[in-house]
Amino acid sequence: MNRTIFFLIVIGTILLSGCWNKRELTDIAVVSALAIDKNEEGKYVGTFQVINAGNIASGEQGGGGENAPIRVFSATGESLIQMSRNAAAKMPRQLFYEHVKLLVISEELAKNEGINTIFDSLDRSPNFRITTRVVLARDTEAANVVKVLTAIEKLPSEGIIKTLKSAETMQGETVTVDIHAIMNALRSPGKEPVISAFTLKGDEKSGERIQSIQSTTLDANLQAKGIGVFKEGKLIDWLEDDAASGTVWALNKIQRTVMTLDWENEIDAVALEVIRQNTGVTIEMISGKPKISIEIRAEGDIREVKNQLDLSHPNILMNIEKKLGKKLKTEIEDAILRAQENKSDIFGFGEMVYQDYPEEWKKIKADWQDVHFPELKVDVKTDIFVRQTGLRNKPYFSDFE
Amino acid sequence: MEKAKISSYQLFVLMVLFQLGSALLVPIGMEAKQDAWLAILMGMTAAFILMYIYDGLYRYNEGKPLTEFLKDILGNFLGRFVAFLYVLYFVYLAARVLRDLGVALLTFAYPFTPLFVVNGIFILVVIYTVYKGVEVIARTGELLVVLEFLLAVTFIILIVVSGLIQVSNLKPVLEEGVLPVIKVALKETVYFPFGEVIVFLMIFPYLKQPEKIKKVGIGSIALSGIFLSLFMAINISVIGINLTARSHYPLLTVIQSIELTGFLERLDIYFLVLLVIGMFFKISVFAYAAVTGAASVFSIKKPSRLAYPIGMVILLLSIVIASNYSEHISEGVNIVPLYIHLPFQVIMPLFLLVIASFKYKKKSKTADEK
Repeated sequence: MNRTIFFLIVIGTILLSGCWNKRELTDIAVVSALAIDKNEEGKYVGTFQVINAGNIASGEQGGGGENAPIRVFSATGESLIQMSRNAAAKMPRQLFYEHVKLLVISEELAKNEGINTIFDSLDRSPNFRITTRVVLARDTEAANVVKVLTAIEKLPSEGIIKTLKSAETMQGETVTVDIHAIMNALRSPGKEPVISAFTLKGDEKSGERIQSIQSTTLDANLQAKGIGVFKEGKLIDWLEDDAASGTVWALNKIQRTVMTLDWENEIDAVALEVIRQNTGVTIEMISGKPKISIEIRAEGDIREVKNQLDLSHPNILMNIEKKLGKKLKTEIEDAILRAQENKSDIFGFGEMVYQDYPEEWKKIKADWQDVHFPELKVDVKTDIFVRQTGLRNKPYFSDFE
Repeated sequence: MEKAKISSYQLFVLMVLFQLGSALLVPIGMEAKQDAWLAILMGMTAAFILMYIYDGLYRYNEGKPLTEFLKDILGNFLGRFVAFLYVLYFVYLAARVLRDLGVALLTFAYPFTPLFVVNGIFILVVIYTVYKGVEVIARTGELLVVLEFLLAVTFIILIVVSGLIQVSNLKPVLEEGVLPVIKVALKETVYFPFGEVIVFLMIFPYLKQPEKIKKVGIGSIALSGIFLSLFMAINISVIGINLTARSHYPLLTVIQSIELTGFLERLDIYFLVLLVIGMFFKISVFAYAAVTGAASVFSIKKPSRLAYPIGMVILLLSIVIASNYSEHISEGVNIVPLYIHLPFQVIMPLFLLVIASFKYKKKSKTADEK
């Protein structure tokens, strides 16, 4: 009996302990962001942003870390896997990719070589997530984007993602995309990817120092700037301001944005905050050629007027609705025209044709991007509704002489 | 045969878990592209017919497992031979599923652990369960189905709430017409996982109420078919057909895509639990059928004694069955359904049913004459 128990304990310890390939927290370096550049020799340069766990924790207790919350290492290699192997030579700990939140790709790499084939190792690896967000580094090296410290958010990668999200929801000129969405667009003949870009304002060297985030204004600041348009895996154009927001509208990714309207010589006299919107895209086949209709319904509240507008008057509100609708319409039409000039179907219209008219799609699939998409007829219809005007109707200066 | 009894609910649960088992986790019916979910539904419908055949076969030989009544129908020698083939079939399928499980664990959780160790530890659990008999398997099923069901329901809620579903990914429906989909259904989905319920011919004799077999069988196939089809539709609508077809475990990728309210993310454990529960029942049922079958072929009094040796055979077979995962999968898709499943699941049972119906008629005639 005693023997059986002894035997069971031994067996149990061996089988149940489950530490075949254990990795203690002190043995791993948690990578939070990864930047990919290309150097003159044509090798990939990877920059790994590694979390300095001790300093994050002390920061939360109000101490404010004296050291930077991140450490940055870089390594080169012919492929991404080789690059990560080479990085091991510079790091005392094993790189741990499970928590990579951000992938930064340099403008140079996207422009010259293209991004067609760089994602495979990330897609294949069980450690890496395909929900990792991707941004481009504009007018700077990708490495600089992950080196800079950010204010408010301790972790720069977290800061970039949150900036991207808040810019997407509040401003509507950026899109948040992950590796999965990009791979999907790259492989589909009826869709091309778009990726938002970040740029560095200020002195990049001092942005790496902890002193940079100890003052109220940053020496170097990251800023969302434009959307990169791709064709055949290569970066070909940047969309900014109205072109960017028109694109985001047509992609149905707008959540809350502010639309402005000029009124009687006053620029941006009326500001409408869009509360909710719905973009519907339908396709018809007219004598073998697809025709796209985009229908947008948006509603929102007036947030600011700079003119002596009597907002208690329904007619004026209707007038505002109409003018805003017209403005949005031209904005979207311009964005589509720009895409057609680029010969890059970033809206995925081709994919929709495939989904609704698979037979016709077979005929036009081969030269969709170069011939059929640029000739595509797109009909844009917008309906804007002003629902509320905030707490007041007329502005306080409406009686001013 | 051991002296055991299971209730019809236990059988139902066991059959559902058995069919969901590995089919929930691996891509099936991928040749039908975005219509894979339709191919599964069609396979399910075809499997109803198979269930009628199995039920009819069992009616003629009530109270006896497959390997026993083979002797009655085909005579002692030939019957034993075919029964032996069935034992090999069950062992092979158990080994295949064990390999699936081992590789899945290796790829996403234990990259540096040898396959033999993972499979070995798992087969020990299976051997123990099989040794304890069918009642234990059934009771475990009753217990774990609650967990599986809870996981499935919360998974569906999470997916819907997180807004990942893009129904347009399922379009165009029937791109090449309905024929290719039917072809996939008859070539693949009807055999895996539905047709594999033939193994339950070894378990039906333990049922307390034998008249309910048809109801339980059809019901379980319907429920698991609808579940599989729904999960496949979710897979395709969340990650698209391209990624689904490229993935070894599409459900894992779908689960990893869930990001809700900033903290409900990285729910890989869902996949792990579904994987282990499902695979456990599949391997256990196959192993149990192989053990009792072998005991009846070689006239061994205590079948449970065979649990250990046959378990070892399954373990070794699961290792040597293929040199890499691609080989394993391509065998599973290209060779197994047509050359192994088809004869064992359709041709042989049909053949047996015809012979049995003649024999039975003769018998009843002679009985009438007397």
